[in-house]
Amino acid sequence: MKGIFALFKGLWITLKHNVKNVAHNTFTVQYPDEKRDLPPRARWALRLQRHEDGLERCIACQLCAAICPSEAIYIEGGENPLDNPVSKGERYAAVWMWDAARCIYCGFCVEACPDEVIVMSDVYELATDSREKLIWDKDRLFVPPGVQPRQAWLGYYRRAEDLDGKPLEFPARLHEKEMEYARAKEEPKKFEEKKEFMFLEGEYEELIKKENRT
Amino acid sequence: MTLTAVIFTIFALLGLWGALVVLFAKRPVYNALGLLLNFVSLAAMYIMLNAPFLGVIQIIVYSGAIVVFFLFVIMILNLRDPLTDMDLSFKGLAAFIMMIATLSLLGVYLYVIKLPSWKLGPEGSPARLGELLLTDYLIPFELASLLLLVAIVIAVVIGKKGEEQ
Amino acid sequence: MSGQPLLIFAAKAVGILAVVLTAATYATWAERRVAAWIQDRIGPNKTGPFGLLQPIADVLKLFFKEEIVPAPVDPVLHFITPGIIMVGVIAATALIPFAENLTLADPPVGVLLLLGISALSGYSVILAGMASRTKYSLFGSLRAAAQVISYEIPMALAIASVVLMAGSLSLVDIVKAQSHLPFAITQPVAFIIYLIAVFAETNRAPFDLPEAESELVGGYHTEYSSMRFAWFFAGEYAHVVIASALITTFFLGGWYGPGPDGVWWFAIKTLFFVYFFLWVRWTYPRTRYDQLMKFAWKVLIPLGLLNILITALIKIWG
Ligand code: SF4
Ligand code: SF4
Repeated sequence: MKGIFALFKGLWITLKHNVKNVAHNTFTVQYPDEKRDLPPRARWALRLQRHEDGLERCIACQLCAAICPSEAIYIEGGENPLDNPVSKGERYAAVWMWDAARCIYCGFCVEACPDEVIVMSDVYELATDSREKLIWDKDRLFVPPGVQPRQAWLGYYRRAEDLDGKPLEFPARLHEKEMEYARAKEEPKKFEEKKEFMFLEGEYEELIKKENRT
Repeated sequence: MTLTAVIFTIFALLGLWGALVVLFAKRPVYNALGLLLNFVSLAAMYIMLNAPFLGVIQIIVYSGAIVVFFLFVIMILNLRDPLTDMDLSFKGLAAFIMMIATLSLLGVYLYVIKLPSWKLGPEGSPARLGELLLTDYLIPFELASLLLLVAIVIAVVIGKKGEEQ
Repeated sequence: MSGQPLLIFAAKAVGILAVVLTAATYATWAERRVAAWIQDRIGPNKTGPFGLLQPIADVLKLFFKEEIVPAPVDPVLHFITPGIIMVGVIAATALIPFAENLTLADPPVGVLLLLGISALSGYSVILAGMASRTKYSLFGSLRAAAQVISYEIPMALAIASVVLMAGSLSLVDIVKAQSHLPFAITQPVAFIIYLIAVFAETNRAPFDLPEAESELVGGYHTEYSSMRFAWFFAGEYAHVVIASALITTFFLGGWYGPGPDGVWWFAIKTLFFVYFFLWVRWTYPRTRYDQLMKFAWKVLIPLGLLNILITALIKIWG
């Protein structure tokens, strides 16, 4: 008798879920239409940065290519033309290729780079229809002049002794995070719930401190 | 030839083909399927001969259950010859039961041939059939069930004997 | 075909078949949506409004897929088996009384014919496994054979009590006998037995042992791909639709209902049972094989026999 009751109880539970989800589904993110916020340290496609004046930061030292465990990076250096410089050093990267299919997203190249050229961005939609398209060349890797790619990850990974006692700084905020922060000031209650997913420990307080300073 | 006759002939030929397949096909699966084809064509012919009840029962019992059992056995025994594996030490008992079965079958026959032929009417309605089975044909009907019972007992005996070893 | 012109008859036949097959196609869509909803997901919703074009996309995909026929299969059997299931479904469609004047055929032995057809369509599952010659398929077939034979008996017993109540073997007469009260109310035991047996007959969860994915890969259709697989797939859902229509016919008074009678009542009841099939599938776990067989032989069949006895006694003295 108890078993028969349990059968109906089971049906009732599934029916409740069915009716609830027809009306409104709480969990599913409609992926191509909606996108989830990535965690701040998400490590996806490499992007290369420029100086503020638009010159490429890379000096073709090949350290990243040397450390890469999966040989995903290929660089050909070139003599920097003095009259029309590409980078700020003596050399610049004539060819900078990264194979998204080989890369294991370990982040070694970011740490090896002496000039903070490489950052791991939050560009995660890497799928294409051919292997050739998975090899990114310079045009795709370098961010356009004036654009700051995401650097939270880079900043966080710097070791304490590199900082010489200076406070940890976040060179540029993740764009979405700043938007979130701005929104939060309008809707404080909702933001409180989201805070712990959005920021690492202490990050949010840093941001507040920084804003109060300026 | 009318359309009905043409269809009847087609089914007759199909039934014949099925019977030939049963006899001559090499693989047991095809034998069973030939039997199935034969049964289904027979059922179609019964239906065309104004005996729909008989035809449909033919499908349900023979094609639906018996041939499925054949296939079942073929699946389980898979290429083994069942007769060589069988132990025949109990053949005395089996033969005795077989004899009873044959005798009762004979009894059914003797009884049936003396009765007047079926009076099913042009419709061949199941209601009339049921009526006949429980009045004029009651004794052969019961004898036939006795025969089935005997068959079941034989099956159980054979099965049990095999289990003991 | 009771005297109607051949052309009208043919048009009716094609129309009914189209409706049933469309319903079967959309049952696949409904299955995926309902499954998703029950599991707190959303399901296919991108292809067309509410994902309604999804079945069409699926069929196109299956159509263009490569057809793989493994080397050791029996080529003849492997080729014909996917068709058998559809033949059975289509043949059963002809017998269903959708509405007072919307029945293709009403033979005096309609109920028995239906049982016969359902027995024959079991062959597609049994032969599919034998033709494939692999162990998963063979196990699927073995289970299917035993299951189909065992559950046909309680099903027939349940129908027998309905036939006793209606006093006729014709499906139209059975529906007409329910014009006041459906048999689901006057014959609750038969109704429940039939409902359970029909789940086993259609190989649906919780009795989907012939194609138990977690143990048998795909069960009997493991070795089928492309359109041949599609036939099995479509056949399963067409079977669900037909089975729902039959439950409606036998136990829920077909086209009768509160308010104006008509084919819409039939459609509503049938669609409810199609939903019920999906609902049950995503609620209960699969039963174990010995439980399944024990349940048929030790519970359903005695219960069905008892029910017939009581029904007959009531018929005589009641
Ligand atoms: S993330 Fe690791 S694998 Fe990828 S390019 Fe950098 S060093 Fe190579
Ligand atoms: S990206 Fe960095 S490590 Fe790699 S070559 Fe350029 S400067 Fe050197």
